[in-house]
Amino acid sequence: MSTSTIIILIVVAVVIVIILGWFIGTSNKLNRAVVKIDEADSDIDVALTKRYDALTKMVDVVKGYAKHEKETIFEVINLRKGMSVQEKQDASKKMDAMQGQINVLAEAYPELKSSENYNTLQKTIVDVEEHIQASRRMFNANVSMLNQMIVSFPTSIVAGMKGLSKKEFFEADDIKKEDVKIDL
Amino acid sequence: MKELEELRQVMIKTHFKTRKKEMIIVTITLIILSILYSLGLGYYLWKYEHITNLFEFNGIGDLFDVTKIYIHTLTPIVFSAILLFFLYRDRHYRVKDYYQYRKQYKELIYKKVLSDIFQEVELFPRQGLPRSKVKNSMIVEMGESFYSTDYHKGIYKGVSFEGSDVTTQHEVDLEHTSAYVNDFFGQVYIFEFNKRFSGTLIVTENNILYNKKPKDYLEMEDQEFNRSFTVSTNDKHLAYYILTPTFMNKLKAIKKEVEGKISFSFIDNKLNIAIYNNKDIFECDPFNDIDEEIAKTSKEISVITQIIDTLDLDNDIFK
Repeated sequence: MSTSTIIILIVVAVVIVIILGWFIGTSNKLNRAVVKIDEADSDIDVALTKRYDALTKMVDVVKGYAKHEKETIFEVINLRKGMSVQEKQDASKKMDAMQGQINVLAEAYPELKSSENYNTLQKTIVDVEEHIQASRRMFNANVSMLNQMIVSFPTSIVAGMKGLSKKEFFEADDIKKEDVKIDL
Repeated sequence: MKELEELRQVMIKTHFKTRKKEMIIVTITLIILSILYSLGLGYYLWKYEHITNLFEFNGIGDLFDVTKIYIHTLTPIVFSAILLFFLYRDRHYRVKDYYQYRKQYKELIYKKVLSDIFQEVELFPRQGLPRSKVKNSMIVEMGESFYSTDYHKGIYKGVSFEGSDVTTQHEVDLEHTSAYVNDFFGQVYIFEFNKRFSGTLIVTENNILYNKKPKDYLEMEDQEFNRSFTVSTNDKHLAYYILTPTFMNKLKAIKKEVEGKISFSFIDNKLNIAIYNNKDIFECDPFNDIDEEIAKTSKEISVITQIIDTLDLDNDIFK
């Protein structure tokens, strides 16, 4: 084998090693981004569950004061594992509606509004909502990072080979984009 | 307060009397020194440089003779400038009873100013925040030496806080000697925060370097905020939980209002704030009127109320 052939082979081998290294590195980067999105996603699940629990307790408190109106504030909200982003958004909207109804009832029942349990739960809900907003923003930041990688060349090649596609953002209602404000 | 004003008046009177005597002594000393120096230099030049006409005045042309100008004019000016510089620089410390006045001033005036605004006020002029607390805030470069004075604590709108002046320094080697350089010179405050959390979040004004920061840096959604601050945390959820869009705007507003460089850290349900402004607070000037000093102090401590009000730390809906 001539010297020039050996040189060419070495160059080709080096190029292949570089490409392979880059491919593995990029692939791992994309994997990490997906894992981060999954983590943020489960963070949203935890926050939604906490909010649901707090709302359920709140409904129990409300029941004691507004017995004849209880049907109006019960809406079936199903929370289960593996919900899509859209399903989570829907569940979140239903909880917003439920919270709104509870607030309206509280206005009509001053004893309810001034009760210690109600106020404690309101504070809990406000805090949980802040956590939901934090989880949503973290999820969207991670999705944004992955989506940017997916559309950027040459990372897009690796993403295409791995079958990755752009992820959906968790959109917040306009009112929820602001900090939680509540009258106690 | 009346007693203090009387003390101040007596002190100033005594000071000016003493100062008058001092000025006479200094002036005479200056003249003697200048004459001695001029004679000495003249003798040297006559003896070794063979310049003979140094003390003769031969008309207006001599005014442009550099050697003569130096001997007859520059020497006394240089002496005077040096002495006056030291006299002026140390004027507070040379005032008789200054330390006594300062001590009383801090105990009476500063405590009164603080008590007018805050509850449960404590002031310890000779003490400061412990080194460990400042170090654990993770927003102060600790250097090699640490000083802290003027410890004060209190409660405003139900929010407890404590703070003090802090100076940290490190030694630098010069050619034949060494000097201490400030790593931090300003105030450190610790506030009770209104959200419960675990984890560490650090928000430092850009272009400040600190030795210990969590490794994960975070870009927030607010680009203006990112241009002003660097965010690092060991818990991203915590960063988004505390740094809501509204809260980021409030931090930007505080940065604009506060003089000096400001950093925040959120650790163990506390908000730590370090303000690097090259200033000691609670330092009185006996030559200023007491009302003037009170106004100055009120302005200095307004940073505490400003922070609590702007950040709504009294909002307890998260507790």
